[in-house]
Amino acid sequence: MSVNTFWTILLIIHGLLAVALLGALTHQAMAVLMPVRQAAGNFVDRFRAVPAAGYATAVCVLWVLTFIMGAWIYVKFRIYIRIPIEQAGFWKTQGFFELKEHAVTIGMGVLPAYWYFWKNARDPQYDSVRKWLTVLLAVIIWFGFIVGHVINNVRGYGS
Amino acid sequence: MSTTTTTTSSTAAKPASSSLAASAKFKTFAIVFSITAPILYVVCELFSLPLFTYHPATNRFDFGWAPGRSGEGPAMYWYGWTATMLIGCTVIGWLATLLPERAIRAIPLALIWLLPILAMVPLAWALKPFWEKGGWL
Repeated sequence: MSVNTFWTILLIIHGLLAVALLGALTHQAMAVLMPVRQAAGNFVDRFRAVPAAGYATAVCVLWVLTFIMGAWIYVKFRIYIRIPIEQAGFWKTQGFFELKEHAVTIGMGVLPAYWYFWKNARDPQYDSVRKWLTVLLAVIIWFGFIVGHVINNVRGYGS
Repeated sequence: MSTTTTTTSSTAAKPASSSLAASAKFKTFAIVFSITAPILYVVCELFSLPLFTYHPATNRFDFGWAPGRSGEGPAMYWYGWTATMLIGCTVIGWLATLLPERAIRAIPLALIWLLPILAMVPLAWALKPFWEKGGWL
C-alpha cells in the first residue's frame, strides 16, 4: 500500500465517522428542538421522533473517535495541505479550518456534561441545558463537516 | 375523552441506572470539567501555553511552547493546547468533587453551553491575520 493510499484511507474513515456523528446529532437536535407530540407521520416527524437519549453514548464515542482520526491525519495536513493552501493565498479558507479545530476541541470538552444530562433525561431541571448543549454540538459538527469538506475540495484526496 | 396519542419518546430515557450517571461526584466532575474546558482552551491559545510542541517534519517534541526551527518545517501547538486543556479540566473537575454539593448547585448550568459560544469570539479574533491576509478559494 502506498503512503498516499494509507493517508487517504485514514481521511475517508475520518469522514465516515463524521457523517455518522452528524446524523446522530442532527436527529437529537431535531428531537429536542421540535419534540413530537403525536405518533410519527411524515418523514420530518419520523426524523424528529427518534429515542434521542439512546444516542448520547454513541455521540460521545463517535466524537472522540472522529477527533482522534482527525488529530492523526492533522500531522500530514500541516505539511502537505496547509503549506500549499497558504502558498496559494487561501488564507480565509485556512482561517476557517483553524476555527473548526478550536470548535471541535471545545466541543469535546463539554461531552462529559452532555453525557450526564442525557443519562438523566427524566430530570426536568436539566431540560434546558440538555437542549441547548445538544443544539450547540450539532452546530459545531455541521460547521466542522462543511469546513472539512471545503478544505478537502481545495486540496484533498490524492493531491 | 381525548384520543390524542402523546409520545415523549424523543427525549425519554430510563432513570439513570449506571453508577456513573447516578453518581453525585460524577455530576460535579462533568459540570466543572465542561465549564472549565472552553476557558482553559482559550487561555492556552491566547497565552501560548501548550503542554508540548510537536514538529511534524522531524517528528520531534519539545516540552511547553517552542518556535519552529529553521529548516525543520512548522511547529504544531494544537496537540499541546488540547493536552493542557484535558489535563487541566480533569484536575479541576476532580478537585471540585471535594467541595460540598451546595457549592456546585450554585453554578448556573447555562454556562456549559454559553461559554463555548463566547470562547469562539477571542479565538476568531486571534485568527485576525488569516481574515486580513486575503483569499478564499
